[in-house]
Amino acid sequence: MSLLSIKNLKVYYYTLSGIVRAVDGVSMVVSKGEWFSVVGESGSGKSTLAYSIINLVPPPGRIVEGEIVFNEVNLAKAPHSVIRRVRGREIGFVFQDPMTSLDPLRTVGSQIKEVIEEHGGASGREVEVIAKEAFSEVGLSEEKFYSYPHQLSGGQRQRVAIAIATVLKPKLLIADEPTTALDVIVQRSIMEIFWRLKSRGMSIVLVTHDLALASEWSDRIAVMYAGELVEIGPTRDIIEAPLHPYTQLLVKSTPDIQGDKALNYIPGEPPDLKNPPSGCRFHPRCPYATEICRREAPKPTIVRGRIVSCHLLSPTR
Amino acid sequence: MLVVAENVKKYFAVEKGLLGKLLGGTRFIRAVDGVSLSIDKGEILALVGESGSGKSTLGRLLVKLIDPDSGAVIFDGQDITKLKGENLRRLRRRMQIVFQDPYASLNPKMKIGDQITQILLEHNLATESFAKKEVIQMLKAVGLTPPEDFYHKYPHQLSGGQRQRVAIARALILKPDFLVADEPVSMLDVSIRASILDILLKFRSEYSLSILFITHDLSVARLIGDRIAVMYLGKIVEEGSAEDVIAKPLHPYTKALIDSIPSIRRRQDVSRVKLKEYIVDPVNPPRGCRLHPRCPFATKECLVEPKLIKFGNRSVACHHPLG
Repeated sequence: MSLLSIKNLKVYYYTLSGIVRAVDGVSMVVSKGEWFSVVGESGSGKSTLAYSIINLVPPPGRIVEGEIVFNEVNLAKAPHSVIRRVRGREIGFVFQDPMTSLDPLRTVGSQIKEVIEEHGGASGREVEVIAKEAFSEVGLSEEKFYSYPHQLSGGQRQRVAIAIATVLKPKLLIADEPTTALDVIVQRSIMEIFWRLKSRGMSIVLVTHDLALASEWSDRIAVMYAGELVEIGPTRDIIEAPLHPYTQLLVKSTPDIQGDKALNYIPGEPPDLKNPPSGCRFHPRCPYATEICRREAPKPTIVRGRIVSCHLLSPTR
Repeated sequence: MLVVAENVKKYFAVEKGLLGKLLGGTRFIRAVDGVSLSIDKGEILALVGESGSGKSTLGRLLVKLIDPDSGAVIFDGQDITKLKGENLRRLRRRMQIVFQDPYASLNPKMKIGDQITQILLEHNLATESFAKKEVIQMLKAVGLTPPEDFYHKYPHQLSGGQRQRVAIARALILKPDFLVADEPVSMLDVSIRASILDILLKFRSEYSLSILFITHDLSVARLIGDRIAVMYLGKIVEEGSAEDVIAKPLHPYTKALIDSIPSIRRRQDVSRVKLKEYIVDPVNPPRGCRLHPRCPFATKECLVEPKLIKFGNRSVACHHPLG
């Protein structure tokens, strides 16, 4: 059953120096209870994609076209009041820097209680119980309830942010690079929290630059390049038999502590999204590019149970 | 040995509040707390640690951006902590550093080619026309092609990866013997990371450049390091050849780091070392072994500080090293 379905989404930033096509025709479906990861490098548009789901794209950006259907409501067209209700109650969001969502002047306990009071319909003693339960779910001891954000470590702050984002038991949790600022040991414990949430039926959308991180935890992976999803498929397929040349090269470039010691990289640089290359956006860096790749943008097609946008794999060739 | 650190210590005074001032007594963060290491000519030592481990402070000590409170840093036989004046200037040319954020170290108002040419001219190493030729060649060597075009660009016209190439070109134009590279690829996308590592490896094999490569990422350390040293709260806890340290870590901290790194391979979950979460107060680190409040193998013995003990080619500071 699909929970979130995005169709031909376009999100552009209208800057003084030109239009940045950060998300340019993205379609994807996230099922109930699924862990879906969007992997992309800096400037690929992955964070914009995440923010657009809850209508938090900062100006001068806006959703230009497309549908974001969540639980049968098109959030791209919904009135502000509906989006506000969905945000928080039905979709939780975790940012890279937990301080984005925490108030430095109040104890973390009072902040989670406020969320429950505003959205949750509980009161008094009940609020306290729900809030403390949420803290223990993310592995925070009770005494932390009375701490101010600055008294906590980066990992503990992110746990608080996750507790707040999930205390109302949303159906979907979106996490944008939630562990990029944290050390690897803490990163793993944060992933374990997401895993527990998922095992209780919550869908997870993890946005990350780290293919290895995504591959350890996700059911499916979407690979994003220059504003487009180039390949979507089950995690093991993407890692073990990538179809799109970009995915193939990205897998090879990802250092692996257990793998070969080879130094692989992709020549060239990701394009400027104000002025993306013609045709397939990966063609200037692609070792297999041909004339058609320069001329025409490939359409997403289904290949071996995956969705891939590449002329090399199109059935007409 | 080209570079040797002998029991180097560097403490930083913590800002005192009003109360602290009234009560007196300065409190210190022990960023580097008795570190000894050595780097051979043409060798790459990867220094691995999490944030707050003191790895960047150690890097700065080795190129004398700061001086230690005690201990010695010996470069090519001379204790650089005592050098001054012309002798110091002469040695400075032979050691360089590149940082994580190349933008911070480049002049935004100057063409990148001119920034590098200037270094050669300042050191009276070349005439202007010869310097330009050298710089063009260097830009080519770090992969900025065509170099004639890149010579005339400004830092803001470059991508992060290209800027890091410029920073490396600038650091290596004087052909130093020793380079400290402090997280040089951490801000870069994985698709271009290896190309930067490749450049450093090329210079090493071309003229025996020695490198201290500082990183938080053990998988990068493994790719570039001949040896790996792991640092935790101001101390080196383990050191050895890159292969040995990764394949058979001796310190529980090293093992926990390795076990936490995500891998694209499907891996069987063999006994993973998990550390307890614990907020470390850097002013007041745990006594004895600094890992003991987090370590699953800790015993009473661990309240006594373990020494870094050598076993053949490797060393570990642990009362209960892994077998």
